[in-house]
Amino acid sequence: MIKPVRIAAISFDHGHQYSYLRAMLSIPDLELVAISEPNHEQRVRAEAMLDEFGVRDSVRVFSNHEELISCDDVDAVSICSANVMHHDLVMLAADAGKHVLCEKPLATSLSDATAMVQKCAESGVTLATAYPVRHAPQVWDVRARLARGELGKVHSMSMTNVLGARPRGWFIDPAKSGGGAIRDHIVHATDLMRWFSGSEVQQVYCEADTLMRDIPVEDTGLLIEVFASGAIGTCDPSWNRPTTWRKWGDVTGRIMCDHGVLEFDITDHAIQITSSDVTRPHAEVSFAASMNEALLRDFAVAVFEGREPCATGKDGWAGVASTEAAYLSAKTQMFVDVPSYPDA
Amino acid sequence: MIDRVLIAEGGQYERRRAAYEDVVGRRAVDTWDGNVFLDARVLVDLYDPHEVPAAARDQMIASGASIVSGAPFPEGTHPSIVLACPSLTTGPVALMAEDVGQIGRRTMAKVVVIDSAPSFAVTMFRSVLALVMLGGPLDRLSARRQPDEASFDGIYAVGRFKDGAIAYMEAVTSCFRGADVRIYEVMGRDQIREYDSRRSTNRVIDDDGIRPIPATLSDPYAVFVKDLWQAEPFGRSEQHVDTIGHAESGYRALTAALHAERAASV
Repeated sequence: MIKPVRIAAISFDHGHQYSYLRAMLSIPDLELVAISEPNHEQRVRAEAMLDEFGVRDSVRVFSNHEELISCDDVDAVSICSANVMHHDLVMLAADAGKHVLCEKPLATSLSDATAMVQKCAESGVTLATAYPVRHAPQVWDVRARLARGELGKVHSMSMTNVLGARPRGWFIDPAKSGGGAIRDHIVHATDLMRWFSGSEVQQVYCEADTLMRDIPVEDTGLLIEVFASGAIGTCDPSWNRPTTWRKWGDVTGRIMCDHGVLEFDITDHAIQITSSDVTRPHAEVSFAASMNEALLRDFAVAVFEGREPCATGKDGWAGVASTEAAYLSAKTQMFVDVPSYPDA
Repeated sequence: MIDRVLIAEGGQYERRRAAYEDVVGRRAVDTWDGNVFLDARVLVDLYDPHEVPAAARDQMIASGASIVSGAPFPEGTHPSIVLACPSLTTGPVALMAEDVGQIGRRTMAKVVVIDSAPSFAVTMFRSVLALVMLGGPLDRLSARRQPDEASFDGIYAVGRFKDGAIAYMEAVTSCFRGADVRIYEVMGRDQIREYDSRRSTNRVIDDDGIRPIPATLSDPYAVFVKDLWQAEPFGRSEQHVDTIGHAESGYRALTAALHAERAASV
């Protein structure tokens, strides 16, 4: 019998870690062995979850990340710290031979992202970027249809990944987050558009500003992304919806193809298909599953099998590259070229 | 005094013709074929000026005829050209524009128009007009067009309004039938107002399925033509002059932005 991957959760700064923790405790391929969280309040919340699952006694709890990383019985870590800490924690984990699942955005600078990808490769450990949206069943279905060429050539992809005006704490502290809505959200949409089109972003134009609330980072933005395939992508990553916004966030897309439009909304558990086929002009495909579980399962299998995870460190790097270009564009009001990964 | 109306072939020909017949009578309305003598007593309604040769456009302007055009002439503005703006006085954008003061500080406005008809310039102009109606005068725009083929023609634009809010526009023409949709959104600190033609259409549901019915009894183009006839001087409703001017400036900036690396100033 193959032993499960012994995983640890590092930092609960980003609330996604609580969802990942729940997934770790539900997947047979993973064995949660430790957590680390210096913040008392966040640690207590995580411990309560361990109690809920009846594993409080078998999971070690650290208030110091470095102590956890030095444990020999940890194979892999999930890092959900504030964005600026991703670099240091990934470097430490890779040095210690731990496979890493790192929350998005991978880094707050392209040089940091490059160093992280290179370090993990040199250390022989897996670096996965936590892009759970890739694991939403609706998204899988859209990608499969596009890959089969069901609706012909992709002309454009219009995406949103928006939030109500809720982010607070380190998310709106530029010293810890590295930016606001642009840093936080364009990575999901950009990643999906890259994945759908099988093509890299070549140019970005971005408008960004602080318009919704009086906070020190941008909360409203819009982007145009030009892909190598010729397709045009757009993305609304704003945190400018009222706090009563009906969803926790959303990831929606409208993909215009030669013979049809694919529309999806990952919080609606269904995709809508409008086709030029008059015998079947509209269709809806419904789903219901946890994308966080699928993310963690993919990570576990990647570590087991020594294969690449669904979203690699280089996919995270590409998100950082687009983000950096977007910030430069917002300053200069120009289309900005997006670099390719150095080994490409 | 206009006593003859000539309708150029092209998009929405029947609707445009019917709108003029309502105000000047059927006998005074005919099809423009390029060979008719034009003078100051004639009005020509063009859907898309790009479908008319440049020489014919020049001739029209020189004749002193009044021209109603679905999009700005590439040569520039002229006092005899009235831009057709059926959405200014009736329909969802006009309604949303009336209430835009209630949304609080504006953060963003979006216009998405996906059209199976081929007239790119008209769709682009009306999309910019809708943006201006929802967000006020534009300050700058950046855009890309894709892919400029017969089966699909789309423009994607991002920019700013003069008040600092962010503008987004997606205008697609020549799409396959069935894809037609109009989405208008205007967002402020207090409210978001949205219109989606797929959700907002009145419907009849019976044994034959679901059939859309018009949301209003008045055809917007008919309302536009009636207003045109009542305006003094002809075609220039003072109330809308600024809005149309801002939209035309936005349209020209958008055209300039398509191949530029830097955002075009409006």
